[in-house]
Amino acid sequence: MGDCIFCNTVEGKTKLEKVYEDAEVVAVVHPRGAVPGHILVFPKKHYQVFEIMPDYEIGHLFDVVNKISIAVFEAIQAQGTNIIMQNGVSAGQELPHVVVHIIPRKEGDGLDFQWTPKQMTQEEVSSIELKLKEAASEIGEFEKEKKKEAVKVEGKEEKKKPADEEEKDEDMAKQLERIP
Amino acid sequence: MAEQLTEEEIKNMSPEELKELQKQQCVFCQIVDGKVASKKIYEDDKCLGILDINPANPGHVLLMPKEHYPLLPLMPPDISEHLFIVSKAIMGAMSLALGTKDANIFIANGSAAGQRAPHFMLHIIPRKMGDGVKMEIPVNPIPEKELKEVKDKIQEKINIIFKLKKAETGAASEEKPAKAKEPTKKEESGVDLDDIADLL
Repeated sequence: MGDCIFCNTVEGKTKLEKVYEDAEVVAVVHPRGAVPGHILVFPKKHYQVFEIMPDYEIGHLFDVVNKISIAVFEAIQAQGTNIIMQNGVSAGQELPHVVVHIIPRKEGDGLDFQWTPKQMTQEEVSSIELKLKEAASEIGEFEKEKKKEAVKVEGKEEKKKPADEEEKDEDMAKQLERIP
Repeated sequence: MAEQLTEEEIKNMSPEELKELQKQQCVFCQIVDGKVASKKIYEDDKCLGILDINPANPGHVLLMPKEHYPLLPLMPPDISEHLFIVSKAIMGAMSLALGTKDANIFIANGSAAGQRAPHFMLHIIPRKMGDGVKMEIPVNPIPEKELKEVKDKIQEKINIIFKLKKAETGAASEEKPAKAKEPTKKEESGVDLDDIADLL
C-alpha cells in the first residue's frame, strides 16, 4: 500500500514518530491532533475497516489502546480520555487504514463530542429493537486466538498464508468500494 | 439500606464497601440485573448491549460489562478485549439489520470527557451520510516544540507501563516499547484513576 501514511509510518518512512511498537501495533502522537497528546494507535497490517480485522488482533489492539490511555492520564495529567473510532466515510473515516484515536481531556478544553438525541416514536424504537436483536442473535463465535502457529514471529509476519487470508482479501476488495 | 446512610457512615466505609455501595446505586448494574427495564439487543456472560434511550442515531447501542467498572483502565483486559470484539460483531448486526455499514465507536472516560454514569460503556453509533451527528475530530497543528515535549512525556510513561505489565505477567510477550528507556519503576503519578472514577 504505497501511499498509505500509516503503512509508511510502520516502515519508518514518515515524520510521524512512534511512541509504541510491537509485532502488530504502532502508536504515534498526532502532529495535528484535537489537543496536544492526541494519540493514534493502528494495526501494522493494512485493514481498511474494522470489520475485516480478526478478533484476536482487535483484542490486542485495544489492550494496547487501554495501556496507552493510562500512560496519557499519567503523563499529562489528563482528567479524562475519549477513545474514538471512525468506521466508514459517513462516520468520518478519512484514510483507509483502521486507526483508534485517544484524546486526552481536561475540564474546559473546548472539545465537545456530545450529540443531540434523535426523537423517535415508540414504534420506530420497537422496530429497530426487533431487527437488531434478531441480527445480533447470530453473534456468538469469536476467534480470540489465532489458530496455533506463528505465536512467536519476529518482525516478519507474512511467512505463511492461512486459508482464511484469501477470504479476507476478498472482503477487503468489497470494503474498498466504500472508501475512496 | 443505601438511602439511609449518613455522610459519616460513608466516610467510614472500606473501599470494598464503597464499591458495593456504588454498585447498588448504579442504574446500569440494575439494568444488568433486570431490575430496571431496557431494550436488550445482545447479551453474553461478560457483557450486555442495549439501545440508548437518547440515541445519536436510530440503532445507537450501549455496550457495557456486566460487572461494575467505572473506567476502561480499571477493567481486566479479558473483559475489555471481549467488549471490543463484540462491538465489531454488533456493527455487523447493524449493517445487516439497519443497512448502516458505517459506525462510530465512542468512549468517554471520566466526566471531563463527557462520561455521565459511573459504569463503563462503549457507544456504537450507526452512521449515514448527512445524519447530522457531530463526531468530527478537530484538527489543530501543534507547534513542534510542544509536540516533542508531550511525546517525550507520554513515551516515558508508555515505557514504564509496558515494562510493568510484562513484569507482572512474567511471561514474555511480544510487546516491546519503541525505545527502551530505564524504567524508573515507580507507580507514582499525578493522576489517580480511582479519583477520576470517584468524580462520576
